[in-house]
Amino acid sequence: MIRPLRAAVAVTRGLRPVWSALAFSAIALVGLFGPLTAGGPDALARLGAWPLIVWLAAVALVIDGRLRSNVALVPVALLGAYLSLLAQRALPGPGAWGYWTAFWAFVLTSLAAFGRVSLTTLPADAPAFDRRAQRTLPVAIVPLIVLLLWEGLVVGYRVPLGIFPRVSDIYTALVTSWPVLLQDSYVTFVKEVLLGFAIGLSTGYAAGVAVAGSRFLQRGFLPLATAFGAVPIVGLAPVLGRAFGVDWQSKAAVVVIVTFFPVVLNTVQGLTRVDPLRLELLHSYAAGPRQVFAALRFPNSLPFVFNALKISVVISIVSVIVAEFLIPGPPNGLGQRISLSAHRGAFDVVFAAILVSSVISMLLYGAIMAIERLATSWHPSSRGS
Amino acid sequence: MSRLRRAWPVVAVMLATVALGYPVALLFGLPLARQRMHDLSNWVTATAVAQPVAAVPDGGNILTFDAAPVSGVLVRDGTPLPGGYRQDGGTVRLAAPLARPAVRLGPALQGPVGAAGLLYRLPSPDDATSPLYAGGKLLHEGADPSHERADGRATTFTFDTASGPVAVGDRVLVQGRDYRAKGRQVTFADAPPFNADVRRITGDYAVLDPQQGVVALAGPTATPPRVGRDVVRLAERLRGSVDGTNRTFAFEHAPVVDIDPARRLYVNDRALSSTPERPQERVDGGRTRFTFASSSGLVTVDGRLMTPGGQYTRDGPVVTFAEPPRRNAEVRQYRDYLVRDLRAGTITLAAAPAPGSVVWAATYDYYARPACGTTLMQCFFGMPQHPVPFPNWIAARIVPYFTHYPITDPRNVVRGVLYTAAGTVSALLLGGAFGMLLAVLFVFLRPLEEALLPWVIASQTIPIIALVPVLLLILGNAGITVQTSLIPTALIGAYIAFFPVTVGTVTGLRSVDPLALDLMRSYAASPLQVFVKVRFPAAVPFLFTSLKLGAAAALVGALVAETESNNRLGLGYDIVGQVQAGNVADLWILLVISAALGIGLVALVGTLQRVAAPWDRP
Amino acid sequence: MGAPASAPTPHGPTATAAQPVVIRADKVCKTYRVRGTEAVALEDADLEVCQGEFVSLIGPSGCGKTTLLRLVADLIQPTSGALEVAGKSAAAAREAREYGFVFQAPVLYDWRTVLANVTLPLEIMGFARAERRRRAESLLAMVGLETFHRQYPWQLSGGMQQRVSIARALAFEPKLLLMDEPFGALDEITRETMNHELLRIWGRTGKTVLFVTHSIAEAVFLSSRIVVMTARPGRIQKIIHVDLPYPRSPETRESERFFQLTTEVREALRLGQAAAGVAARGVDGRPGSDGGAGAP
Repeated sequence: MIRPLRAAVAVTRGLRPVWSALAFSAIALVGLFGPLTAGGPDALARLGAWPLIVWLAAVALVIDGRLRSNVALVPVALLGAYLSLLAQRALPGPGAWGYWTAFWAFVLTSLAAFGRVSLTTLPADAPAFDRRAQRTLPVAIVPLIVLLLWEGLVVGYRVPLGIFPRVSDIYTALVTSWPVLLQDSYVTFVKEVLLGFAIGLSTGYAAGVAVAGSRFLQRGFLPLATAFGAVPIVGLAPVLGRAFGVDWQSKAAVVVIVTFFPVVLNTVQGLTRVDPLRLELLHSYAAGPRQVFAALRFPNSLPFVFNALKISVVISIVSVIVAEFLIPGPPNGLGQRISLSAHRGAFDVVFAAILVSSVISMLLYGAIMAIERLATSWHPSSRGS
Repeated sequence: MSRLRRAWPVVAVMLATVALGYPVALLFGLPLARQRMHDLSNWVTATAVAQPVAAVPDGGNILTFDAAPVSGVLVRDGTPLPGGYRQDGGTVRLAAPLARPAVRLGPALQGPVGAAGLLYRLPSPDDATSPLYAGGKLLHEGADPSHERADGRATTFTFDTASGPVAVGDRVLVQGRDYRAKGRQVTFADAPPFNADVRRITGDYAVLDPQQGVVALAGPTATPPRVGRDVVRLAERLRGSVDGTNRTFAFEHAPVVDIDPARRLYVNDRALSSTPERPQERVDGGRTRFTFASSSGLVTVDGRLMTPGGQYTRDGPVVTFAEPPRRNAEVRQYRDYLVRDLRAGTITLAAAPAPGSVVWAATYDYYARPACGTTLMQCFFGMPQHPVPFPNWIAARIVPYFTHYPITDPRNVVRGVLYTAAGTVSALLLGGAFGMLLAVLFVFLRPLEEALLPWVIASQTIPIIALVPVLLLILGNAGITVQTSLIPTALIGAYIAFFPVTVGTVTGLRSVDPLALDLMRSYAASPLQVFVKVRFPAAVPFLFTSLKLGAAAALVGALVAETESNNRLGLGYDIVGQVQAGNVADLWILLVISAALGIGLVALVGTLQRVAAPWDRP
Repeated sequence: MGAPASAPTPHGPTATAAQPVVIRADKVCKTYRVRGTEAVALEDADLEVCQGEFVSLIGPSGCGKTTLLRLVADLIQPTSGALEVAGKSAAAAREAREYGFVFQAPVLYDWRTVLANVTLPLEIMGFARAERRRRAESLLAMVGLETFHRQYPWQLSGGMQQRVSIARALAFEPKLLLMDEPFGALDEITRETMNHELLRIWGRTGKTVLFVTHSIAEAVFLSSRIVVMTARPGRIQKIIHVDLPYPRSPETRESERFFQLTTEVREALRLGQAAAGVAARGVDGRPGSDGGAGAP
């Protein structure tokens, strides 16, 4: 699979840089002035000298052909695509052939440069900058390309807002609805997720301690806990909505239940899966059950509990939003906001809310990982052994 | 036998969980029941009315009354009687005999008419509210309306009482011929006409038609009853000291009904008006002067009593507030009194009655008891919907729910389950295939993995359900009828399911023992052979474990897609429908069904695992 | 069989005689019932260990040496026979914390620092914080790890971890030290160093040590008495006195007497194995039939 790709890269490298530069510049030039053919000179003129500058820079980098130039070419070519996008946005109609030519030429150039950077095997003595660039470029480039393609396609096809928003629309919605979204996030993430999480964690751990201490409960409760934990949110949310009412309490209850079962299961595992020799050591000290718990079982269970928490956090956030969809109540949660906006057709708000929700979930997940690292720095998994 | 022993703890815990359902149902339901009990709008109202004298006195100084107020005052025609007397429960001992007799018996009722021999006519329609006496004793009115409304077709009606003649409209029917009675239930030979009053006479008589003056007795009498005129009544004296300064008085029965046009209160012989007066001017948020109809009274703003002198000053009918009331506030003046506290049944008079006066009530309505019952448990069981139903109620709904629609009807639950299962399986196949493909790409193209994996992980933080409306819109515009298609279900389920499959397969493909790889290298095996013979078998256990996770995830995705797309054929639609209809027990059944579906799918994957990878003992 | 009443093992500068018996095993048996069949782990073990002795248990796998050690520690209970530790029953001895146990693996708690690992038994037994710290620090100094207080177990090498585990076993100053192949996981060179360390510590503290090992050289180097055991069923074959003088040094390993003793132990082991093999095979070579006192 790699061989044909490598062959393609070799060909493009082998091509004398001048030829590839000429080919590229021809395409891009045509494209850049394409908007002129479609909608008049004002569109391009508004951007001033920028298109020309960017195009010249791109050509120079292509001719240069070294690794660092390719690394620089990636964002420069994307900038070119963005400029053609800006020009197109000012025009009334959908994109003409000029727009598409320019846009795709720049995007493909960027991808080609990216491919060159990734597939180059660096010599052993390559400087650190080159290595780091090769490693981080892929991660950084993907969102930029996705966003650019998104915006480019939506603008090019003139998709109306009611169908699909543009990236710029989402940004606008984010900025204007910021206070509302913040308020919604407070309700969703602090009242529903954090509170439900805390309750689920504490009751789950307590139940885990109880179950771990009793053979009977272990055999009786654990299989059921796996079964209870398999209840899909869509079935659970309406029932809880009926029991707790339509306000935030029912959604918090959803989080409690979704957190409770993984925590119980993992706590029991963590409390019972103890190295028998460590247990015997304490036995040789004639330690009582409470001392055994404090000295051995509790610290031993921490990695398991954090494992459960990481699973629970992700599931909780998804569940809370699903619950907000299914239990229509006062409109003060992120999920409610998304649902309402979607029904109204305001998809820019929908995506803005989704973005906020994703960012907060990642922060929460990161927070849990940070706490985990503090609390279980001794565990093999966090020292990467 | 040993299998039974091993299953016992699970069974015991399951039974305990079910048993736990009862206290939980009470825990959630009782507060709601208590709320209903305390909600006055759910209460049955009763009327406290001045009681006419119970028996025609034979000249002595003793008057008897039924249902006497605790502290009463003798009144006649809206005026308290002069002279002293002592009340002892229902007996009043006069200090001196009355100037006029306590009751003047007027003409007798005309009748009986009608087949049942119980219908009478009042001498004049004004007597509809006059008391009736028969044989010197006061007759009590009582009628029990039927629970059901007459819709022109129903013939069976239920009452609260189990005995008494039945009247439809202004006719008393004959038992046996016109209707059959069995306890509280009555079945008519002919259906009563639409909107007719179907009543059972529970007291001594009932007024069937006040305008025509039609009265029905409960049973035959020797002589027809006679109307009582100029009747002395025992009215309720409101509690409170009459000392010239006190303006607060209380009813005996509380809470009182707020909007009660029939309420009549008196100070001595002056009737009090309780109608609030509205100011002539608009309350626009800046104005402070308002003009009312009367020159005195109690002034309230938004229900709060304002203090004269402090919060407002008065100049005849013009009231000037210290602070302007907010825009569109309720500014009212009560000329004589207002009800201060509904629940406690207290009123505040505009002017304090002079010492020696008597403040009394001719009639007023009050809340007697909760409609659902007198005890909390009665109200609890009387609730139409419980937040958490009792387990046996849920169990009772299972069979009806499954058999409600025949199996051929697409709305049947079992078919819905199968449809959703099909959607989930296709989602799992799609997501599994994509996940595996992505995993293979990741393992062989490191740069791709490094570029995409962090963003794939980030993409999982996007709540899938939020994208469902968007996706449905796109699919709709692409020409797919989302309401009947499995495609949205499959796509959304696949989106949630692919991620665990990818991660698990990548781990599995990389989990190969390096010595095994060295062995392959010593055989000069090609990469494809290495993949098929070593990497893939090593990945299989991880793959199936993540497929199990994916199955659960795909089910959630499928259900979410169904709820949002209104796909009538699936389980999600049932759930939404039951949420809207409010059938809690059915929701619990759906909960169990969806859980069972999830477990079943996971078990299915497990069986596949045993078939495909028998060497792997989990 | 039993040892003479007075133990002939002086150690360090002070030589004492007629020490009290710390461990007395009298016809101790341990059988396991596995799925209906009986497996005899230890049969009729008679042993007396006096205070201050260093006794090794050596034998092939399945000879019951670890079983005997764990019986003394009350980690398992005998099926029959009498066992007395420090004048009490084994269970009472455990409650009274009369011994420190060193396992095959260091069995350190990953989440505790080295210092905290050593103070673990002291915490369980209710020592005051200052006292715990003092003891832990002095013991870690004694085993040569005084600069490693704040490290975590996984930052130490195998040998160092085992030293921590020995320090921990000594923290609460038990009379008796029970060690179950503590150096089994280490390489030969580290093992010899650790043997030397152990003797040094033993010389300073004067504990009674019951030591289980696979290695003949180790047994001879460390012990004052060696208990040779055989398998199938596990029993004590022979007890050998080691009359090498203390303190011993690496040169001791090269002495003639050392070689003779190791040969003696090896002979005893081979005898025991052969006897067991004969017993299993039977006199005429058929399995199961009771063997006589045949020796090859």
